[in-house]
Amino acid sequence: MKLKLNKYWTEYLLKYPETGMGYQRVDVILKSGQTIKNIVVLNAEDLILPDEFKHLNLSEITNIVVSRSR
Amino acid sequence: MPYKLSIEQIRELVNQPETGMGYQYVEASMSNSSILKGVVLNSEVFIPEEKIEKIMGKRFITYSAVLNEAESPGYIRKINVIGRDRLHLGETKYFAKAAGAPASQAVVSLTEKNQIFKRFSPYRNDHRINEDGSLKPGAYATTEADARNARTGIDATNRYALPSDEPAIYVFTIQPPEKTSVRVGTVEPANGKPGGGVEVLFENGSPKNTVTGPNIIPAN
Repeated sequence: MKLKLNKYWTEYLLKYPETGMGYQRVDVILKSGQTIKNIVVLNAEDLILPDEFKHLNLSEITNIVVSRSR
Repeated sequence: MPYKLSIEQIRELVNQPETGMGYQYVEASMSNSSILKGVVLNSEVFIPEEKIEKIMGKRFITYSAVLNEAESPGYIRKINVIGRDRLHLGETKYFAKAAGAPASQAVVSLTEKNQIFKRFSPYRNDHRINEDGSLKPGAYATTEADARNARTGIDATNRYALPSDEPAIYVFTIQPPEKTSVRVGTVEPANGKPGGGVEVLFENGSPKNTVTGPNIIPAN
């Protein structure tokens, strides 16, 4: 499932290098303290979430950590 | 489970000799006070002896996959290189490596005059390309020659191991100034795709008016 990031997160992600052509692998840290590990962001705007997070709201994200590992 | 080393531990190991091409035998004092022997790959990820067969022995596994599985730095208190005679792992079985290294691990090289690169994307509004025709730092592309192997958007997602199954039908052309810093490598298998293409990492991007397009290629 894709979650469209807002301008704030897109601009934030664009400060970091890509993991491969057109994408980054990231850990998403939620306000609840939970971390969604090793997920893909396409074009710094589409977060590809596992099904169990399909109801996630942008406001629940507190940080996104970019990884260079594929 | 492999363990990533801290920056300080990486620096320490880089200054010590390898046991073989790309690896060192080590003894690690763990944060739970246990002492484990094993192997460090590329001076950055430690695999304990008893985990080596599980991680690397049963099937081909890429270095990136090992890194993806690895625990974050912090589990290892101290790490020392040990002699080859203190560990017997059957290197020829487990340390077969991929044919080429990814761009992120390649040395910096400089582009030639009029050299052209291509970037495939499923997005027309590719955010790594600025309105002034510049390329943001940290963006990937491929060489013009390698791009000829990707005639469709599906070809491109496979050859460059892109995570999206959406065909990368938008092709941007990059013509950076002579002597632009890049790292050139081979796309490793990832995201369920074979890879194998040439990847070029523009660590510092490319200045304005150097990116044009996109051209559109067939999806499949």
